[in-house]
Amino acid sequence: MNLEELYDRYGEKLYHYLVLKLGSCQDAEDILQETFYRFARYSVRWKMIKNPKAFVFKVVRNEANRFLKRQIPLQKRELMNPNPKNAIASVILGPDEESESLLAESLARLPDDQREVVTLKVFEGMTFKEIARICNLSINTAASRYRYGLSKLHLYLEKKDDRGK
Amino acid sequence: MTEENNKKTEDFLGGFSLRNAPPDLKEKILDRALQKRKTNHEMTTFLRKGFVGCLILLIIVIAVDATITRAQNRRFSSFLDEQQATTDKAEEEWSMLEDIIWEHSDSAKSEAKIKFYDLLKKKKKTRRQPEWRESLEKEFE
Repeated sequence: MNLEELYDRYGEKLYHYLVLKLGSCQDAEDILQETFYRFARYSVRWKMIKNPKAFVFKVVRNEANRFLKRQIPLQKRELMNPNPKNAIASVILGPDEESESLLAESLARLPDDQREVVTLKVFEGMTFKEIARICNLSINTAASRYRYGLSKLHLYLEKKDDRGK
Repeated sequence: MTEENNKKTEDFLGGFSLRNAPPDLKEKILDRALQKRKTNHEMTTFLRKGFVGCLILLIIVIAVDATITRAQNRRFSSFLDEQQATTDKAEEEWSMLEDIIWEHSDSAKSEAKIKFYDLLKKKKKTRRQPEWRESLEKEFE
């Protein structure tokens, strides 16, 4: 699989995953570029890889985590990226603008680890097994993070609904 | 209750999908990635050549240093051997002279002793020969 084929298969998915994880389109582009540079530099034996999708997501995730480590302390990260909601809203397509904004805000408020599992499950349609492999978790932990994430989302959405009424 | 809420939330999320990525993203990502690989490849080649050059230079310096050290050692050892040979010869001659003094150091022959030392002084200045002993002994006789 050459670089172009790789991008055609996973490029956009990876971009969305990165925007939802990092809350920044610019950072997502930088990390995606770095990841593709790595794929270009090190020839990957795709035939040896059982689940290429999980592999590619794991590589991107590792790159994103390296990036986040460089951005420590967290305050600095928040200063650099003060409004992740807008970035998240830019990749979500909903029935209307209001609901897009509502979901983006709720997702932005979720803890990073729960948001990651929820977005992989909901938007990428991955199984808990795949998510567990990508995030270095047990399947049960992945499932429980998903449940906690949904519960929190439900609370945020309810609160917003109440305020709206 | 929680399960129900989660189900509701899942249904709500099911109504969303993801937008297409910006249209020029593919070109941007791939071009930058390939450009970076090219730059790094050039850099790696340059560094590799530099490393090989330094290695060769280091080997040459070590070889030259070893040759110079060996030549110096050879010169130094030959110089030391020569000096050692001269010292040995002088010591041998001195012991010979001591023997002569010992044999002829009776109190009655103090004059001969003085003469002997005079001779000795003279002989020290000239090249010493093994025939000394005979000539000296004749003098004492």
